[in-house]
Amino acid sequence: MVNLGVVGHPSDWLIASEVDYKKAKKLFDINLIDIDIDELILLSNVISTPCDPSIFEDRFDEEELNKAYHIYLALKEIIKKYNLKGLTIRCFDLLGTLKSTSCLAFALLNKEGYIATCEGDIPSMISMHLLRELLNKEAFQANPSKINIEDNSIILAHCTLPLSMCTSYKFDTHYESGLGVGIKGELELGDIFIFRLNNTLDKFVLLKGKIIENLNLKNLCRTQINVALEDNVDYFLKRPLGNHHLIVYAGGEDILRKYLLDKNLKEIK
Amino acid sequence: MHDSGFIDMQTNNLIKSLKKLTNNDYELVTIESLYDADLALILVESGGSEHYFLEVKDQLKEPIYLLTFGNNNSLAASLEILTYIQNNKMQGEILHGSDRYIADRINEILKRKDNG
Repeated sequence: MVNLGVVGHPSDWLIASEVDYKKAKKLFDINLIDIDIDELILLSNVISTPCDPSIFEDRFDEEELNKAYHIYLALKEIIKKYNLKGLTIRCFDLLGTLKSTSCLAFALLNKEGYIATCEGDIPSMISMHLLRELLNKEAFQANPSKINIEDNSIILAHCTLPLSMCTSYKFDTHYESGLGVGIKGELELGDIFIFRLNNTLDKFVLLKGKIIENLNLKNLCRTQINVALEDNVDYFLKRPLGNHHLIVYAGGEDILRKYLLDKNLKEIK
Repeated sequence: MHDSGFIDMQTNNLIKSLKKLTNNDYELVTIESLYDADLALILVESGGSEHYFLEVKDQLKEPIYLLTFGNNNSLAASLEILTYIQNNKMQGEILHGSDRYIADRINEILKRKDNG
């Protein structure tokens, strides 16, 4: 049995992401543990260890870096206390209370092999956990942001990703709030797959594609990639399984597919 | 959290373009008069719109068409809304992409309606 933490509830806008905790336990041997977000806030506020900026590739405002780093250290304490393999956080609640974001913390935790997903998104967390358990792979949790039907491509973007997935990165603020430390990462061009489970844990999507460019568009989250899909992009417009999707460097798709089909999940294309 | 001036500009540009490409008139209306038109579209302008959808969902008729331009996480919000719609055994679709693609889909939908 694996423990995964839900720090705060799923964000209000995740209206199709509620998960049955008992089903997650029965199907995937996952114990979902609710943790009060105040625990994270209190811990972050008392931590004073300064961040060593030399561990990063890019420089950023020292105070902002320290606030974001304290969230990371607080999460490490929570992981230890609850014996977690990973967690998801209602991260927008940190904007008002800590005037920072968990983007940097997630980039570090995911690099270290933990699971960390944004906005209290439990289906994304479970999906990411399966990738780690079955394939030992990390994933970029992203928003589908623009679709081009004519050439079957899709732009995906978010403000954090595992630093281990980046060929290089720079720091910027978190897009929606202009606060905290977001990651503007560059990913390796080439084959990937896009994956997620639905919230009732009876369907999954696994689409093949290729990252064809890293982008730098205004009015989107900081890390942005353009993906040419092999499978039909109209899945996103006609039968999606939710908002966030995981981008994974190619390899192991058949193992993942077989595992889920053997558990009687239905593949959506 | 999003720039409302920029969003208004994008909405106006989209409507202007769809008018030109489909020869139809488009009007932004409140939920009360949404179904007075030949075709009702729900405009999703930015991320965070999902709870507004929940407020009006009981007044909507199937199929529910979500029109969106993509920036400001409006496509992301539309995906979550469409998932909710389909989880609740209702029909819906996201109208998004190039203006040409959206215009063609609107024409197809209107034609299908005319043919009963």
